[in-house]
Amino acid sequence: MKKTFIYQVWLHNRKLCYLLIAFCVVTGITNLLGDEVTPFFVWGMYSEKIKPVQQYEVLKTTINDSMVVDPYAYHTTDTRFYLIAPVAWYKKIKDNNNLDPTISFLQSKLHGHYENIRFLEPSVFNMPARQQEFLSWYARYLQQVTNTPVHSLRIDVVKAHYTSHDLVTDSVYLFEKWEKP
Amino acid sequence: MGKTVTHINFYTPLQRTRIARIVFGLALVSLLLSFFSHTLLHQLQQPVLKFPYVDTTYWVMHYLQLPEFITGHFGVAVLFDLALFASCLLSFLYPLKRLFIWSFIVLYFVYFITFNTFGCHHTNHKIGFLLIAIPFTVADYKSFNFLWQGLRYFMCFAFADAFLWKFFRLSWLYNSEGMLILKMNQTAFLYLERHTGTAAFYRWLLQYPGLLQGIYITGMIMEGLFIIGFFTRKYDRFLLLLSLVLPIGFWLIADTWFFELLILSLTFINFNRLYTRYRFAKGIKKGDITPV
Repeated sequence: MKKTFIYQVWLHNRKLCYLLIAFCVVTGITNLLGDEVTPFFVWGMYSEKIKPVQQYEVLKTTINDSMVVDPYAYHTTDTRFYLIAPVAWYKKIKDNNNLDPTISFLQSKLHGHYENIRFLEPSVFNMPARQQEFLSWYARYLQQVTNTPVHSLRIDVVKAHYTSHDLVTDSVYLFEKWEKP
Repeated sequence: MGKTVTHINFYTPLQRTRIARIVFGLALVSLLLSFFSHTLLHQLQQPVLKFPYVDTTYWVMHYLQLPEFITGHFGVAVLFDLALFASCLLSFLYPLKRLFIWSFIVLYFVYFITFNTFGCHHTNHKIGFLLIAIPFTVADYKSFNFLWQGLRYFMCFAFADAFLWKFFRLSWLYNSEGMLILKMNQTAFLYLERHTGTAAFYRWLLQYPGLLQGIYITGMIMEGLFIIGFFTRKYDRFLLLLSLVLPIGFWLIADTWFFELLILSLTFINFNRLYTRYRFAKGIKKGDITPV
């Protein structure tokens, strides 16, 4: 016991010891609840069963009717992250009848208590006004990353399935279109 | 030189300064990488969609409108990024000036939240830089050492926690988990880069679901091995190696970039031994003043 790290800290500085214990306890609680509250992190990625799906979805972005954006052409993954994740989140909002999926999630968990946090909606969640600005932002960001003036934007949904050894495209349809005003 | 108290390596103030130089030097490299990735706050082009999800820290930040205010005003965003770089550079140059360290921590925290929320996903790879500067905020070197060791335990916890989540949720029992992770994360790559050698490699992997499951289980066991780190420091070199190997697997199979988290792997290194070797190699005697 006397050789343990926490005991050594206790002997050295009790305040520091309390701080470390508090950090461990709160991290433990967030892990038990499964809800991350930064900086009390939960490292549970890829721990739940992934459900097999018949078709996978790829969002294909084309700028100026000719240039297909390939996020993998950029070797820094943070660029790829910003090219892929926001548009995927936008698609989820659209698929959820223009309602931020976090609101739906919270409503399903909190039921009537959701009313207590409704006042947060305009500042914390993606309301329709913000959603309408998304394509303009995406065009601006693409313009910066590709170093190409963006006059128009087209986002297609590609549906594809896997055979035993390859990916096969099933269909491609238009999801969103944007033109510079 | 430093000494070992029970199982804890104690670093001298001089060694602390050297470690700080390594830490903030790497933080500068990370920030430069963010610049070339177009993900510094002034490069985000006034983003609109956010993703606080159910993390109340993000809620508070958005309720205060801090990420919106910074990214919404180009001049403010430029000043913020300059301040972030300056605090990092000054921490590198003057590692004992705690005001610079605190400034870096606060600014990096705001950057971390803003990067994640407007990226619309809560990534974990920058957590290392979020926490690594904390031990340098204390004045006395003993507290520094305890906090540095605390970070080592945090790194062990991160991997051990990942193992425990997988273990208790029984994901290792589903024999197609590895293959489904690959499909979920690499479909866009296989569609857009289908003629590359890497895509051919993934297509080859898809023919062997057993191999992919083996990789998943092996990765999970490797994560579990970090539990050893809570009981002994004997195997820290082995854990250091594992912490370097695991992100390669995350990147290859799940297209997840965890290399920046490796900054916390510095806590597995015994700098006492490293600097002793350096001193002998240079023919410097014990007690000599060495350049930092």
